Amino acid sequence: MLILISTKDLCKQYGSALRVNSLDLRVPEGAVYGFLGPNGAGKSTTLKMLLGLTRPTRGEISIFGKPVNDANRISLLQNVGSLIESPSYYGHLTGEENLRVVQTLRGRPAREIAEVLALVRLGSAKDKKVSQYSLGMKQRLGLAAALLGYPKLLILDEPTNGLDPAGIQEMRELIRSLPARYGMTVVVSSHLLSEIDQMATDVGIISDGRLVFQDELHRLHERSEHHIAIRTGNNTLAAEALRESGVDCKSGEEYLVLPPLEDPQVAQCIALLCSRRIPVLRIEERQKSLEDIFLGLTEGAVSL
Amino acid sequence: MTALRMEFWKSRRRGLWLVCAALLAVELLWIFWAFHNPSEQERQKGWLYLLYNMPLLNGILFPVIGATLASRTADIEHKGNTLKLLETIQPKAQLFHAKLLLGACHLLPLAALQAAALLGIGFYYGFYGQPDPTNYWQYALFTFTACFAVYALHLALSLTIKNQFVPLCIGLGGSFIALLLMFLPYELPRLLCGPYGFFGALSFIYMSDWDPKTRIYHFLRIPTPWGSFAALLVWIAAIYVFGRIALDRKEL
Repeated sequence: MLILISTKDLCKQYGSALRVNSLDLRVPEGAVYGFLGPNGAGKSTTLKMLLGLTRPTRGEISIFGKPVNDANRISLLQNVGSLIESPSYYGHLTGEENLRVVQTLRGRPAREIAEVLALVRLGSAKDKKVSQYSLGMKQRLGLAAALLGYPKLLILDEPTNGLDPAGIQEMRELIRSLPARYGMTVVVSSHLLSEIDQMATDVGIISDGRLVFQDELHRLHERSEHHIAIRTGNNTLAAEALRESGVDCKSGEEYLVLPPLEDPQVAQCIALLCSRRIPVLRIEERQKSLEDIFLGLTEGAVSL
Repeated sequence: MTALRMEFWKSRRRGLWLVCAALLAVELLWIFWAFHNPSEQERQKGWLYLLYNMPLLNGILFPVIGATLASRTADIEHKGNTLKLLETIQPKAQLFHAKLLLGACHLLPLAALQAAALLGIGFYYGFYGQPDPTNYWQYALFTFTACFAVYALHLALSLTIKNQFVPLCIGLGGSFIALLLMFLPYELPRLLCGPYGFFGALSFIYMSDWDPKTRIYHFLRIPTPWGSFAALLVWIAAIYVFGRIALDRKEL
């Protein structure tokens, strides 16, 4: 599998604060790579370093397999679209006039303006001055500018900011469809786990400048721990009985927590408790949620 | 050329021509007010009188006008956070060059129009004698170069500093510096106080024999100050290097 973006020991220090700490990113081709982390974790700084907007204090960046340096940065970025933090726009120009700037500087055909405007559903507002756009419309315009030229790689920093729920849904679907429709690889950052969960195929989790997880999204889901929780009329006696029969259980506040068991084993446990005349009040199958995993990885410093 | 074309495109509805026209309008108003009823002495010395006074007016007014022009050129990038986008599709140097050229494209006609206006006013009022064409092309060249130096400095400042109030205040200070330096009898400070002093330093008309009792004065055409012009070119080179370094170091 081709790795489109890779970083090695990437660091950024502001004064004495190490905002990005030895980051080793690997973004595979064709992925929607969710770059997830709490506010202030270093996501935007990392993305800015990838684009050369901020100089790394240390480390290496490779895009399309080539190390990025001052000499080749712009030529490499010819194939990269980006939307960092807030959308970039000229308020005194119309939406179409704004895109004309990017289209001309990128050397793309003029017809692409209409195409990307249609893609982000901004065609009807193209002749309106951008200063009169809502934040959501500006965000769409920013995305349209990033899509001009149909770059191989798209870097989007919190692209759903300012969008209404319908707009967020639309944006998600658009981002999800880009690899299949245009062969793009998308890096999308967010502090919202649910958003990444619905869009990404791969995920990197950053916390306090460090990459604490990086893999395919389903690997994160695999970290979910299943267990059985039982509530009885007398948890102390029930725990003794279960331990005697060889089932390892822990006492919770109101529940006994059992390891993942097959259905026949659960039935045996219930039969055992009933035979000891211990009333079984409730049985639940529990799973550690993605949020729990995320909170565990980021040590709770997160807004979900 | 594409980058310059885009700078013109981006400066639509920004009224850059209006800023230049405002300077010219104020200066012409002042001249028409000063010459509304020219005396015999004024008709005799009119050609040189205008060439003596216009650099003075430029020195007072242009630092603020230049700062405004540069600010209006650079501010569009700050307001809409467009540097983050532009720096991924064009080199920083290209952006700086295009903006410098955009300013030059406005200042060159301004300087030429000023020179033409001085000639037009002279003919309109029927000043005695014939104007020397050398004086006018040199006036246009020096005015353009001094204005461009001020614009370049303020462009570098306006691109680097997000708060446009700061370069505008520096421009205001520049006006005071330019005016003050014109009244100093020494040449050296004019060359050392940034580009502001060059409106006076490049003036090639000298007022002599001013008699406060009779109010009689004479104007002399002194040798063209090519040395000062060379010093201004050095300042422009220094400002260019400063602008490139400042923009290069700026992190977004």
